[in-house]
Amino acid sequence: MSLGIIGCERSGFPALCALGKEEPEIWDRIVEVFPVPCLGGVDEETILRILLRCDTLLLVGCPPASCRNAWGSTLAEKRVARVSQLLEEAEIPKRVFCVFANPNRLGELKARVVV
Amino acid sequence: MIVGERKPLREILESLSPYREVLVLGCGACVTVCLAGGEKEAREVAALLRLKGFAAEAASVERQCEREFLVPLREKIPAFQAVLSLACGVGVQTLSEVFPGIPVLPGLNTSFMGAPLAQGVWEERCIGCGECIVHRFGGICPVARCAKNLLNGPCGGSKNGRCEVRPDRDCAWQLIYDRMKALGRLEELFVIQPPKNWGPSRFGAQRKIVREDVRR
Repeated sequence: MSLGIIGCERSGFPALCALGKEEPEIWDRIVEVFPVPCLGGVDEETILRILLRCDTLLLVGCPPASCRNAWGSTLAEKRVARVSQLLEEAEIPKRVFCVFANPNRLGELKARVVV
Repeated sequence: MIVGERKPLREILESLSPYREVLVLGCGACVTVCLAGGEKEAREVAALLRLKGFAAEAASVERQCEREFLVPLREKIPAFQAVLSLACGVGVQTLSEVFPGIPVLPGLNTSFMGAPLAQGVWEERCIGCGECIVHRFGGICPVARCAKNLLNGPCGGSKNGRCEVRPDRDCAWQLIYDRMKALGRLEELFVIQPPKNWGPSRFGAQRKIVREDVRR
């Protein structure tokens, strides 16, 4: 299963780099990585376009309570829920998830990325 | 404005099944405001169609219901086998008339003429009856907003200001009463309204307006 990742520059992307140092084999599965200033700016179309090139897409961002831009992770969660519903409705077997992580909190990301 | 809703994807996919190269065309007017068929939604649907194996592209025009705005599509449309229009029924038909050689499929269900009440909430306000009488009811249309279309209301079935037929909706006659009271015009509600003239409504033949003064 190929994996794409959109990570916010504040938490998600640094968390991915930290996990990559711990578990270098994760890079074999990851086919796309997009660092973005904030997950709040990632719209549904962008998610769907990246899904063309991978089976699963993770949006990795700040834990909502400590989001650098206050609402970025919350907005991302809403959009991910909407895209998931669209994928299900169209019977497209691809998945998208929100994962909240930072370099000191890798558990959730590890669970999704490390096989 | 005209309020619409995207058709279920299953229905869209079924109607597109004979085609592969598809243009998803948004409209920049009403359906953009009701977040159903604007440029953003067209790009989204095109991306979904690509995931389903279609060679889909998205585009949008200012208003699909006016021929002038469709002229720039003359070069683009022949490259596709079908157009999925995310405009209201008027836009879909105008597009079909301007490009009779290409199948135009509706991607939206046109729901009603209404207004946005809050983010993500739209409510019907007008049925286009052809003879507006809202001034007699404090600016609230009982034809569109009363479940029983009563001109001499209320029906007596409303409870706590809510409609008897749809308790999640306001009773139009309660709203009319409150508005007329606030305007100091309550006594006007004692006037028996004559039967409505449905001649200019949509129950006759297709309606048409011709303005000789502005024709060329």
